[in-house]
Amino acid sequence: MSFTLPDGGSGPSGGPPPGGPPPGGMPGGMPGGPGGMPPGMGGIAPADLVASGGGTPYQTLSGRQRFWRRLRSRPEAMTAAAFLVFLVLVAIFAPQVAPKDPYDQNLRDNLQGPSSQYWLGTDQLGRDVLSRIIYGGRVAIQSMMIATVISAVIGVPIGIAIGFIGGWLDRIVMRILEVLYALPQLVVLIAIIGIMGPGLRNAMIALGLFMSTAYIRLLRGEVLAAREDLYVDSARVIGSPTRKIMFKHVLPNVLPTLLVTMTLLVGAVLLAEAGLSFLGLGAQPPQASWGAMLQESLTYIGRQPFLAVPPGIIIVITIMAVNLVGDAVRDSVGRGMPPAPPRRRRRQAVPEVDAEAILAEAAKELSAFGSARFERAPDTALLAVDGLSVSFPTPQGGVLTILQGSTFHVMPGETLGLVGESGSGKSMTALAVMGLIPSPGQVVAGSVKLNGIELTELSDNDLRKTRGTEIGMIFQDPMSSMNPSMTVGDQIGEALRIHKGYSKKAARERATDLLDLVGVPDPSRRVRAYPHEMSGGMAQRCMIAMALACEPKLLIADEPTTALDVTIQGQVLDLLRRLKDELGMSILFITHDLGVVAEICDRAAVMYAGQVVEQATVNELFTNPQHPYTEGLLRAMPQNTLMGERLRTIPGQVPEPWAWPTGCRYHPRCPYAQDACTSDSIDMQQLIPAHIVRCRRAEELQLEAAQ
Amino acid sequence: MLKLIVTRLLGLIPLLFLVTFLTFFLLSVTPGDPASTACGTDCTQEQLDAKRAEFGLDKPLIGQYVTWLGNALQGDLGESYFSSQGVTDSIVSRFGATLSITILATIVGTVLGVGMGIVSAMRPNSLVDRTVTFIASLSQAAPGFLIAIYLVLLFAIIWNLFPATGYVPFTESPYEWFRHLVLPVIALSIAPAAGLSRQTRASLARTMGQDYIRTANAKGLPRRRVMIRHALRNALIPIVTVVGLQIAGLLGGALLVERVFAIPGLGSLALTAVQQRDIPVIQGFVLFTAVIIVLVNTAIDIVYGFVNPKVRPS
Repeated sequence: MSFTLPDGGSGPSGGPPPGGPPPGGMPGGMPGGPGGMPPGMGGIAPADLVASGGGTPYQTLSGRQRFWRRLRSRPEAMTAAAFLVFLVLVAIFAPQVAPKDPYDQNLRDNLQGPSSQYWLGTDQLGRDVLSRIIYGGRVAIQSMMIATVISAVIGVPIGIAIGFIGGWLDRIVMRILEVLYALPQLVVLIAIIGIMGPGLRNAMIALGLFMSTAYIRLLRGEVLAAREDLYVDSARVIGSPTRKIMFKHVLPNVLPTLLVTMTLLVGAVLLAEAGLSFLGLGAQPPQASWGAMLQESLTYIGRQPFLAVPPGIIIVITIMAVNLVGDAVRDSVGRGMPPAPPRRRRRQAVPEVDAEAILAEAAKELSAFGSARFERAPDTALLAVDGLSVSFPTPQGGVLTILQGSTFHVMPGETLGLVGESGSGKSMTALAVMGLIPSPGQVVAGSVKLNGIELTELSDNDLRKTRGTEIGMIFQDPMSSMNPSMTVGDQIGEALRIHKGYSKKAARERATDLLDLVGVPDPSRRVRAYPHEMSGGMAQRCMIAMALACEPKLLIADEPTTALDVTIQGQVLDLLRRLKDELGMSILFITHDLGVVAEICDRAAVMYAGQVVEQATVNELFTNPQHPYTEGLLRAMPQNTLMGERLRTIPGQVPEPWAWPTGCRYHPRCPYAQDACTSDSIDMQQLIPAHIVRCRRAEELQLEAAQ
Repeated sequence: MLKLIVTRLLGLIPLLFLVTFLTFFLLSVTPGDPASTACGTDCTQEQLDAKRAEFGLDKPLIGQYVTWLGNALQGDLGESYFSSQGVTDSIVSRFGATLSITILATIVGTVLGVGMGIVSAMRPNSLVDRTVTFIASLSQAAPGFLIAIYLVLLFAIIWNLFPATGYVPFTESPYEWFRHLVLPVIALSIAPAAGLSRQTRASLARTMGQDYIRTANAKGLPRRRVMIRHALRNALIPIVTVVGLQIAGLLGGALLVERVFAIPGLGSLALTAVQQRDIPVIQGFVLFTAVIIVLVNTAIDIVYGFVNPKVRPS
């Protein structure tokens, strides 16, 4: 790619293009937002406008300070800016600074390498290369000014005009721009220069014309967005003429973005000038332009290779400097974003260094956190989770334990509900059982036994082989949980092919059978469908088929009905119940909905803030809750609310893992909390057979049962 | 699939019409009289009129356009003011070199870019990752023709490994064809490769955070299969669009790089035409490029339909 307008969107930086938003899109370029700019800011200096980009209207000074502070926090950008200032000064004072006359020919000394007399050597006519580079800086700066001014002068009014007038004019201009953008930029420039004839001035006018399209798009987008905004409406209501609205209200808001676009375009202009002069379409001999010097050097590259070095290097350095400054300006003006890279680097470094040690420390503490005071899971349990703890290292070098001493079990053929509000650690429990905790988190203590096999001690590969074969899992949002570019059949058959060595054909057949099993109509056709061609309910049935492909003994269902319509929810629950009986599997059913628990589960474990707080049969749990949190959940069930009564809620919310209180984690929300609840950590205890609870007052409290 | 292709191709007609319209009218309002330029300095009024009639400049503009468009539809782009060769012929005879460079640079840039992007995504902050980041920022400031000059300096002048100039058609000698194209193609493909690797890296990182990757892991698939079948496959969908956008830039860049290696391609044709204000050649060149780009974009659209089932009509 030779020339790239900064809003081409395909630049190597991969950053967000600074170009205008699409019509009707967010007014992203206006950091001030509606009303952010005091009306009537007539002849205001660019710096003030930049400052308002920082987000605080009316506090111009502090905003400006912030802008400069942001700029200063990037030393490389400051160095680049200093270099550019130096370059401009040298170009202005070229006659004083240059050691020789750039046009002075000295054929006896031609094509020399660097020497004390000619610092950068001489060219084919014996002219001093250093002096020509210095004068070439003038050409570059002139070109930049011509192209930038022309592009802004043409582009800004046209952009505002078509944004405001809209209609057929807008459509025609945008169509033409589309064509221009589809073509290689060099081809467009060649066409324009073909009309006007070659030469530096013409080439730069052509470039300015072409680059005006960037402003047209930007301004049009901004105007369209601003038109939606209230403050323009109100100006119109007051009766300001349209032209006045444009210049007084829209332009000041757009200026920060405009400034950024302009800065970013400068690099493109320099590149284009070099390229066009190199092609002989821009600066003409004997004028000293960096691009033209490259062209000349090419002819003599066999005799004096060094000739190509100085102009090339000065082009690269200058454009790099311009781009660095441009990026810094963009980040400083742009929506209040601090410079990102250095911060990110620091954030990553800490956990990488210390993760292992930190987690080992956490493990020592948590292994003491036992499950001693109640009966162990029966030996016949399919899944026995005991004292399971999961921790994440924090960037500050600490540790965040988001799952602490989880203990529960699932018997063969049984459905266990794992209940709790969002953030209570249900999903993390499921992922821990699967061995899928996102890095850098780790299971730091406890055990997970499946059929008596300790999963936490398996190798990664053996654990992987357990997933999909022994344990299947379905997720909350079936749509996003399926690979959008693979047919449903391939996704179902995939596990069979990997784990059981099915042929492609056999896997397809089995997938069809499975779709039939989960009640997808017309399975032989649906097996070839893609996820986006299905409804949510169908997609969840496909997910279930996928999880059941290898006939796992345990199905983990993580809120499988939450994203579905109520009618579909019932169907999916019926399906799961039927499949459980037909296939004789167990289900670990994760949900926040006690109604669903009542419908499908045999037993339930209630979780709160990373801990299991109560576990019993569903019947027992509903009729004889022992933990105040369970009582709260039961009361909050709509089914337990009388007609005309307000829906009851538990006041407050589940605290975030870094704000878990000491003592009983529920005590800040608990109506029965006493002083003792706030300090000592509470262990699980068993008061009645097969019913365990984590509450020090469980024995004395008489809690309200479900109605 | 066929329906998609047909719809896309039909959609080209108004676009191409607009291109011909713009090309013709903009270039026809050129100041100066091409007839007098072609006629030379000592030119009588009769000779001038004869030239004007020969170029069709005596007819009204809209008539000229209709004639030109009619001929263009039959593949005849008129005749150069200066050489007796037909515009279509000279474009076709020079297109081989430009096409070779553009296609090879697209392939090399894509393969390198996607490959390095995958490595960077799998090992963030590794040597490859940091090198690619550095090259990406450098290549924003170093245009292809500049890289080309330095490649010539190193590999043709100093080490004499590859020819510094010239072009040999594939049909004459595939080996020489290849040898002459190594440096131009490398010069041209560095920037798109660097850009693409950044985009691939970002896209892959985004994809790895998707729910369906979790599903694939929950199925117990080996890591390699999760990466390739599930993550990469989806991560590459937006990359197809990026590659499409880059081809237009590569075609433009090829014109510049050709100049460095003195390769007789479309670039030298267009440059000579611009210097001489040879309007039919410029018109033919712009129209031809536009058609190529439009066809490439359509091809990319169709490929996109293949890799992204969501746009494929079922």
